[in-house]
This record gives sequence, structure tokens and C-alpha cells, in this order.
Amino acid sequence: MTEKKRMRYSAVLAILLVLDTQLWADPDAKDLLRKVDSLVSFPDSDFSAEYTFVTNRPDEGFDTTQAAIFRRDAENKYLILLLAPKVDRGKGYLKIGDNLWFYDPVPRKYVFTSSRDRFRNSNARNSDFTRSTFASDYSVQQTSKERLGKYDCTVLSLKANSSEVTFPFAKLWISEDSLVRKGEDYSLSRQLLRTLLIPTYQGIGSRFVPQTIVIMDQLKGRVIDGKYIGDRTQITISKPSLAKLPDNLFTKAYLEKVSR
Amino acid sequence: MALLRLAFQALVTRWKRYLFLALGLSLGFALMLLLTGLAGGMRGNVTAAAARHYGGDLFVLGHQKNPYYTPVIRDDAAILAALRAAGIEPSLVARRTNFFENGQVFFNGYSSRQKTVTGIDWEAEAAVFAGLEFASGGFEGMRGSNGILISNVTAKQLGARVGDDVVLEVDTVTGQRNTASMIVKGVFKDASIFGAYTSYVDIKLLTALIGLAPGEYTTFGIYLRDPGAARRESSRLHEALAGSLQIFPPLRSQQELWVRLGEDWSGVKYAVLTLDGYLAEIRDLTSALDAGLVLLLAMMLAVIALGIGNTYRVMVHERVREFGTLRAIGMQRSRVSRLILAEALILGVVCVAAGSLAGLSLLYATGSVRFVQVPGFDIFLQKGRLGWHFSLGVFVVNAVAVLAAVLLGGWIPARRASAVEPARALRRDA
Repeated sequence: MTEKKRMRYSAVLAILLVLDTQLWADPDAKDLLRKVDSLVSFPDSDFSAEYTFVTNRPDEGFDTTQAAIFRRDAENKYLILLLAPKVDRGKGYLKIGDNLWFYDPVPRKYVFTSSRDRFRNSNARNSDFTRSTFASDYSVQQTSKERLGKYDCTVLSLKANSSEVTFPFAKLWISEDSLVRKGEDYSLSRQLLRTLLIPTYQGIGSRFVPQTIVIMDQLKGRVIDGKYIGDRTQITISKPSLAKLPDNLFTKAYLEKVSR
Repeated sequence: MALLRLAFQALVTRWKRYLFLALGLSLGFALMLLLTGLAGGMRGNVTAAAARHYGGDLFVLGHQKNPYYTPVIRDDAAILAALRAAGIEPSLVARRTNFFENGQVFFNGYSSRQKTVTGIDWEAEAAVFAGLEFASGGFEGMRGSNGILISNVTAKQLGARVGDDVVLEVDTVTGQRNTASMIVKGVFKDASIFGAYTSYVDIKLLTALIGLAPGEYTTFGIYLRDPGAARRESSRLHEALAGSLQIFPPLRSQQELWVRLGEDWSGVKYAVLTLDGYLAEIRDLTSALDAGLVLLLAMMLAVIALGIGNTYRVMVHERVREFGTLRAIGMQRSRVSRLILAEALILGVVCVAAGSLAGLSLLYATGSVRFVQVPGFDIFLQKGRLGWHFSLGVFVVNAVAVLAAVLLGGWIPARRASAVEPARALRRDA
């Protein structure tokens, strides 16, 4: 091969390498992501449910938090009202568009907070309660097939489309019914930060809501007998409903009123 | 002059009578010197720790609107030119990348949330970090490495030691999670609000980690030759920068900057802030320290005035025949009064001199004691010691205050001595 040819091949190879790997991804993968989003989002109705968070920290024991969650995905709003423990009762979160406030009824003050922050020191993030937006937030870099327990899954390796998505890289295990069974969230340097497991869903209308979600922290935990055991939060979702919620529910005045 | 000689002779001939008063007065002045010296040292240590924490006495901060705001300085040529134009000659320029929220260090599953993660130009700031006391390791070899310096508080929380691999997690300027594997190169001793939850890393590493471009950073810090002139220099720098850069109006505090950042503007806009502007969180503490000191000094001066007053009241009573004789041989009332005051003043001057020696010795001794075991006290310490500061101005004020208290205390007895009727005084003693 002449020097000129070698350079030409090298140039083509370099161009191919810098092109987005999406070129080789399954063309149906994006559709799959859209389906995943549509099955667990509620753009045509409101959504409410009771969430129980049990966080287990090795060596430290369990923390339990109970909350009532009210979502209006169509308007990108949610209200979370803490029900337990007793000391947190009446505290709440209100999200309207990109703004998220935390309300504490004792000083009667709202504090501006971030969707990226942890929810009540659990392994869940405040952003975990919004509608699913995988299709718009991520591009599929790679697809593969893998068996996960009793499920045959499509594994999607995702890369964030925008530099404002909290986790720049993610990996999803999607079962044949287009429901996410496992997820991994990575940092920009591709460090695994947390793993989510969603073993069971409950049907509500034509949509689905997880029955339990297990979130395992990959950085916070304890090394016991030489083995790393991450902090773990199990979220149990009960009493899901698609009933219409009053408009004034997504207001600061309402949160203040119910917190009394 | 004759009056002073007479007063001096009176003191010398009755020195045993004055001994305890002189000891008390000397000790009082020594304590005043000790308290003001230590308070000056503590204030100096707080300011030095704050300057090291924030990276200067005076700062230029850049922010890009996008649509929130990102702290960034891309090109500091205009800042350097403004410094020259303002005639400011810094003792050191410190370019830093500061990350003020959501930083966390992880080790073996343990985590420690950091109030500040700071990227340092280690070559430029070597002298600044020479003042940091290390429990183990040090900042040597930090330049260009993935080393991290953590406080003893953070190290204890994590169970980490020098040489351990830890993970540093931060958010990028656009809000993405990012992590880096770091090696603990040093554990420094600092449990104060500045140092306990502060980590130091290489500036290039942190700049890349938070998503800024190579060469960019967040804070242009200026160490002044006279840190006390920060406010004046700030005005001059602001004026010089206003001609070449988009700049916020003069700001007094970080809180004012936050308000300004929330306003409607575009592009990159700069702010000039003094170290004092960052210190709102400890201003209450230093104000309380000053108020307590003033109260204590006022009480000591009152005790001195009362002590002098009581001693001279007894003394005048005992020496009534002497004053009667002086009056009988023609000394005027005012001169008798001045004689007592002169005695008190000479006593005061001697005690100030003796108290100065004792006070400076006490300062030296106290300044060399380590206070590492006192919780919450680290903010006042430099390398575990209180340190002290001798100010000639404060010394003069203390001395004048003591002498004034002495004269005040002696004033009423002096009036009484001058009121002695010669005939009655001589008749009584006869």
C-alpha cells in the first residue's frame, strides 16, 4: 500500500471513528425508547400515588419515608407531600416547569432546590419523579441482547443529547414488553454512579407504574468482609390513580394549606 | 519639674505602701496587652485562613450568562492591564477554579460532602500553602497530578489516609455529574468553617472536571502587599476595569453579587469583590469577639480607676498632716492636687513599662501553646497556635487609657488633699 493510500484509509477511518456511534445502533432503538417513555408517562391525565422509600445503609440500619406524589406530566408539574416520618410530616416539594421548591412548614419557608439533588437523603433524585424522557434526553450508542433473570432484554447504551442532562451516560435493560427492568447511570468520566432495578410493574389504564424500584448507590455504601455493599433504597408505589387532580393542587398556597 | 521630683520622692520613700497597687496595675496592663495582642492575632489568623481559602485579598470574578450563569474567566489580559493602570502591585496573583457546591469525596463507601473543592496553581501559590499545617503528607507533587489534599475532618469521616485512592464527584458547569479518581497526597489540620470541608486539587484537573475549557478558570485572586487597603484598591481596580470589560457596579458582599447575577444581562460580566465581601458568615463572630474585648477592657479600666481611687483615699487620710504642712508653708491648693496626680501618673508610667514586659512575655508564651484539642477553635489558629499581633497604635491607646484611668481614680483623692485646712490638719495630728 502506498503512503498516499495509507493516508486516505487513515483519514476515512478517523472520520468513521468520530462519527456518532448511533450510525451502527439499531434503527428501532429510538422507537423503543419512545415506547418506554410513553408506557410510564401520563401526558393525557394526572397521576397520583403513595410512595414508600426504605433506605438501607449497611452498618446504620433503615430509614423510612412516606410521601404522596401528584403529577401533571402535560404541564411538567409535580407536588410531593411528605407523610412520614412524623418529624418530616407537612414538608413538601413543588415543581413547576424547571423550578423546584422545597417547603418547610416550621419556618414556613420555601427553598429553591435542584432536580439533581438526592430526595430526602435517599438514593433517589428529585428528577426521578418527573415523566420519563429517555427518548429526548439520550441517543442510543449501542444495542445488544441479554437475559436478565426471567426477562429477555434489549440493552441500550445511551449518551446524553445535551450537556444539561444529569447523567451523561446511561444503560437500560428493556424487557420485551418495553418496560425498563434495570438501569445504570454513569458520570461524564463513565464511572457507574447508581443501579436501578424494577422487577415488577402494575398496570393502570393503558400505562404502567413500577410496583417496586430498588436503587443501589455505587459510591456510597460499606465494604463488609471485603465485599462492597452499596446504600440501597427500595421504593414501593401503592394506590396509583389517574383521576383528575384539582388545578390549585400545584400551587404554593395549596402546599402551605395542607402542611398546617 | 520640682513638683515631679517631689512626687517621685514621695513614691520612693513610701514604695512599700505602693507595692501591691503597682503589682495590680502592672498585671492589669499586662492583661490588656495580652488580650488585645491575642485578639489581633486571632483576627489575623481568621483573615489569613480566609485569604488562603478564597485565594486572595481582592478578587475579580467572571460569569457567563447561558441562560443561568457559569463562573468563568477566559482571558485575564484586560484584568492584568487594569491592575497596572490602577497602580496596584500585588504580592501574588492566584488564578483558581473554585467549585462551591455538591462536591463529594468517596472512599470505601464512605462519603464526605465538601463545601468547596478548589483547583490551585501550585507553583504560583506555594508560599500560601506553606502556611497550611499537615497531619500527614503535603502539597509537594500536586502540580499536574491527580492528587487531592483533604482536611483531617474529611479524612476521619472517610477513614482515608495519604496514598489512598478516593473518588471526587462534582457537577459540571452545565449540571452533569462527573467523577475523577484521585490519590490523597496530604491531610491538613483544619477543623474551621473554612478548611474542614475544603479539598484542594490541581487547577487543570478541576477545570476539566467541571467542564471548562483548558486555560479557563473561575477566580482571579490578588494578594495585596497591604491587605488593609483592599477596599481602596478595590475601587481603583473597579474603575480601571470599567473601561475595558462589562462589569457589575461596586459590590460589598457575595450576596449582592448573587442578586446581580439574577438580573437581566448577557455575555460575560465581571465583578470585583474584597475578601471582606466573602466573610459575612464570620463577621458576626469577629464582631462578637471585638464587643467582648471592648467590654472586658472597659471593666479592667474601671477596676484600675477604683483601685487607684481607694488607695489614694486611704493615703490622703494617712498623709493629712503632710498636706497640712505643705499648705502651711505656702503650697497652693491646686499644687497639692497636682502633686497627688503626679504621684499617680508616675506610678502609672512605671506600671505600664513593667506591664509591657510582662504582657509581651505572656503573649509570647501563650502564642506558642498549641490549642489543637479545643473544638471549634481552629478558625482562630495558625498551625494549631493562637499567634499574636503587636500593634504600636493599640499599645499607645491601651497605655493612654490606663494612664487616664489612673488620673481619673486619683482625681477625687487629689481634690480632698487640696481641701485640707493647714491649721486643722496640724491640730488633729498634734
